[in-house]
Amino acid sequence: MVLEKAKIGEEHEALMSGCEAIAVALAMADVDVITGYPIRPYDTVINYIARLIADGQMDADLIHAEMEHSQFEIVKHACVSGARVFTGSSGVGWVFAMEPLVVSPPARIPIVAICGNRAVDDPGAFGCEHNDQYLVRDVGWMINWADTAQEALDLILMSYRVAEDPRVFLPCSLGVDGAFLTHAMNLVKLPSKAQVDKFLPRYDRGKLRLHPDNPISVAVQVNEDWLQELRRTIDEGARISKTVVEQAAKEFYQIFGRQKNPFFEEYMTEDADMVLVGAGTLSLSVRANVRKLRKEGKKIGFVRMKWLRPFAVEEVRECLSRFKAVGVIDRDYSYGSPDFGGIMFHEMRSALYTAKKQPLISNFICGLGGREIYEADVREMMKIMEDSIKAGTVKDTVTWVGTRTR
Amino acid sequence: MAVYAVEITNRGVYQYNLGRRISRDVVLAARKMGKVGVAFGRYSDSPERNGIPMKWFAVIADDNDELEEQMAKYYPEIVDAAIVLDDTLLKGIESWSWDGLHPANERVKEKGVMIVVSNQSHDELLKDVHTKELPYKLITIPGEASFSGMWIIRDDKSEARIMGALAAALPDMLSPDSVQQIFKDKVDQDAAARAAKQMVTRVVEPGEGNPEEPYRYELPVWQDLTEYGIAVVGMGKGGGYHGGKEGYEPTRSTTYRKHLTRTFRPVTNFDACTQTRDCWLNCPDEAYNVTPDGYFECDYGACSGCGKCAEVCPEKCISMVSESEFNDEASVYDMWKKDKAAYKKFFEAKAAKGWVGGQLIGPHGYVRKGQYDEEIKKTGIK
Repeated sequence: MVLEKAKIGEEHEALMSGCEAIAVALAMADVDVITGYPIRPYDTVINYIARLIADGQMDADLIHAEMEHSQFEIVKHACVSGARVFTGSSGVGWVFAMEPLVVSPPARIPIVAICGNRAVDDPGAFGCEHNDQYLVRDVGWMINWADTAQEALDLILMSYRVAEDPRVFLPCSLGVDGAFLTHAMNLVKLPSKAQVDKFLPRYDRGKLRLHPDNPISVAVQVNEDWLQELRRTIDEGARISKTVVEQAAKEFYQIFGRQKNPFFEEYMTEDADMVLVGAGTLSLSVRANVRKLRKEGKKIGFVRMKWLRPFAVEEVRECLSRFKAVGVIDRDYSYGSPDFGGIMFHEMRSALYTAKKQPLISNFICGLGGREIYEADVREMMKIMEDSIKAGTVKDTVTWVGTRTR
Repeated sequence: MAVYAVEITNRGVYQYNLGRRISRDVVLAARKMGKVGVAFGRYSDSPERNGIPMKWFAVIADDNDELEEQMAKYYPEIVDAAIVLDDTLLKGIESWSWDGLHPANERVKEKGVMIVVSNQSHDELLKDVHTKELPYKLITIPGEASFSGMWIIRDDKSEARIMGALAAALPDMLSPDSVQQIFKDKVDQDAAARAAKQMVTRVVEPGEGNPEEPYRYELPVWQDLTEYGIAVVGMGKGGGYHGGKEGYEPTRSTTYRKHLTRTFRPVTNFDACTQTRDCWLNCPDEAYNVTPDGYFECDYGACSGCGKCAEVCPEKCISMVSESEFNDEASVYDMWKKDKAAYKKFFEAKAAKGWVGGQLIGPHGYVRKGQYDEEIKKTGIK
C-alpha cells in the first residue's frame, strides 16, 4: 500500500486534489477556526482538514455546524474576535447561508471561504455552474476563480492577504469548480512554511477587535441618516481592494514565482484577432483547443479571468479592446437579462462600453451542470466570432453551445 | 511523445478506496519515470451509493502540454488499460448518471489490455464480456474481488498485484521498476513482482464474447422536455393488499432496474422455507414477490444484492451467491416448481459457493472481527 502523509511546511511536490491543496494552504496559513457542513463538492476540503488535524499536522478548531447558515455565522463571530477563519459551501448550501453571507461585508469581516461551484437546484445536480458564487457578487464579497489545484493553493494565500488587509476588511470567496478542480488529483508544488510566513502577516483587527478589553458594537441598527455613508465606506474598501490585490500579487510573485498578472491570464493573444474569455477549469479544454486551432492558422487566443471582484476594469478594457472579436464563455446564466446573456458577459460588455475601440462581443452559455466543453463547442464559438468579424457586426449575441436542440 | 490512459472500474463504496489508490499509484509510478499525470474519478458516480459501479481514471503524459491535450476531453474515450476490480462487473456497467449499459471493455483500445481480478477461466468470463470489433488482451489475476471498505483499508494486496500486472502488461507505460519504487514495504514489492508471474493473458479476437447489444437511452432535446422542467414518471401503486398470505404486492419501477449494482444475489432453498416472511418484510428494495402458494421469490431486476434477506432468515435458507455464477436472471421459483429434485441439486451446488446468513464472508465484505485475517490466511496471499 502506498501511504503518503503530507509533509506540511516542507517545499515539495505532491499528488493531490484541489481541495487537498487548499487544506494544506490552510494548515500553513495557521487558520484558527474552521466550520464545516457536508455538501458536495466543496466538502472534501473539510475531510482533508479533519485528517490533517487528526494526524497532528494542523492546529485549528474544526466545528461541525448544524447547517450552512450556522457555518458562516460561527466564523463571522470568530473572525470579529480576531481569529483567522475558513469555511465554504456549494450550490444550495451556499444559498442557504445567504443571510450571514450578506451581513459579513458591511460588518467588515474578512472571512475566507471557498465556493465549490455546483449547480443551484432544482433539479438536484452536483456538476459545476458558477451561479452560486455570483450570488454574492453585488454585496461586497471579493470573488475569484482558480483553474488548477496549484492555483487554488495560491489564491487561498492571496485571499487571506487581501481580505485581512485593514484597508479592505472584506470577505473573499475562492471559486473552485466542482469535480474538475475539487476532486481531480494533480501534481502540486507545496511551498515551505517560511515562504508562507514571509507572504502572509498575522491577522490583526486592531481597534475593530471584539474583546472584553475593547468593548465595541458590531452590526448596529441605523436609519436613513447613517446608512448611505456606511455603504460608501464599504464601497471604499471594495475600490481599494484592487490596489491591494496588485501589491499582494507582486510580493507573491517575488516569493513563489507565480501569479504575475493577478487579474487575468492571457494565452496566445499576441497577434490574435479573436479571443475567448472565461473563468475556472474550462481553461483546460479551451487552451488545448486554441492550440489546435492555432495550428490550423486561426488567430485565436484565450483570456482567463481570475478576480471578478475587484474587477480590474482598466486592464480588462485595455486588453479586450485589442481584439476584433471577443467571445465570453459563461458557465452560468442570468435569466431574462439584457440579450438573455450570462453574468460575465454583462460584466465584460459593460466594461467595454466606454472603450475607445470596441470589439464585437458575443456570449456563449455552455458547460452547465458540469458538462464538458468539447472541441466541437470551441469550434462553434470560433465560427460565430469569425462570422461577426466578416460581417463587421455581432451576428449572434448569445448562443447556448452544446445544448441538445432540434 | 506518448500519452496513456488507464481506467479502473469498481463497485460502490467498498472498492472506492482501492480504485482511488490504484489511479493515484499509476500517476505516482509514472512520476518516478519523469512523466506527469492526473488521477480522477467519474464524478457522476458519486455519491458512491450501495453497489453502484464506479470508474477512476489516470492519465499520464511526457509533459504538461501533452497532458492538457489529452485532458481537453476530460473523461477519456479510449484507454490503454481497463482494470476491473470485480469480475461480476463484466456483465456491463450502468453508472449512476444512467445513460445505458456500458460494456466493461468499451474503452479499451486496439491491442490494449483489460485486467480482471477473477478466479474464473477466460472462457467463462467471455460469456459475460461484450464483443468488440478490435482485438485486445484479457488478463486475469487470480483472486476474489477485494472489499476495501469506506473507512477501513483491508489490504489484501490487490493494489500491489494490479500495479505489478499493469507494469508487466504495458512496460512502456509503467516500468516494473517504477512500480517497485512507489511501494515502500517488501511484501507489497513482492506481491507486485509475483502478480507479473501469476497473471494469465489471452488475446481476445474481434467478435469473441457476449454478442448481446448493450441497451442505450435516447436523450431528448430541450424542446421535448416537459413544460415545467424535468419531471420523472414515478412508480406505480403496485397491486395493493391482497389479504392472507399474499399480503401486499410491492411497488416496483419498470424503468430503473438494479441488477447491475449487485455483486451477490440471493438464492432461496424453497424446500427449507417455512414462509416466515422475514425476507419479504425486511427487503429494503421491496424486491420480493409473494407467490400464490405463499413463498417469497426475489425479483432479480429489483434486487441490489445487499444480503439483508439472508441475514434475517431464521431458517438460514437464503444463500448469497456471487453474480459470476449466473449468466441470466431466470426465476428460481419457476425452476423449483418445475423440477424439485433438479432444483435441490442446483441450490446445493450454488449454496456451497455462497454465503448463508452469519457465516463466512458477507455480500459486502467481512462481517465479524478477525474474519479478514482468517480469510486471508486461507488464500495464501501474504
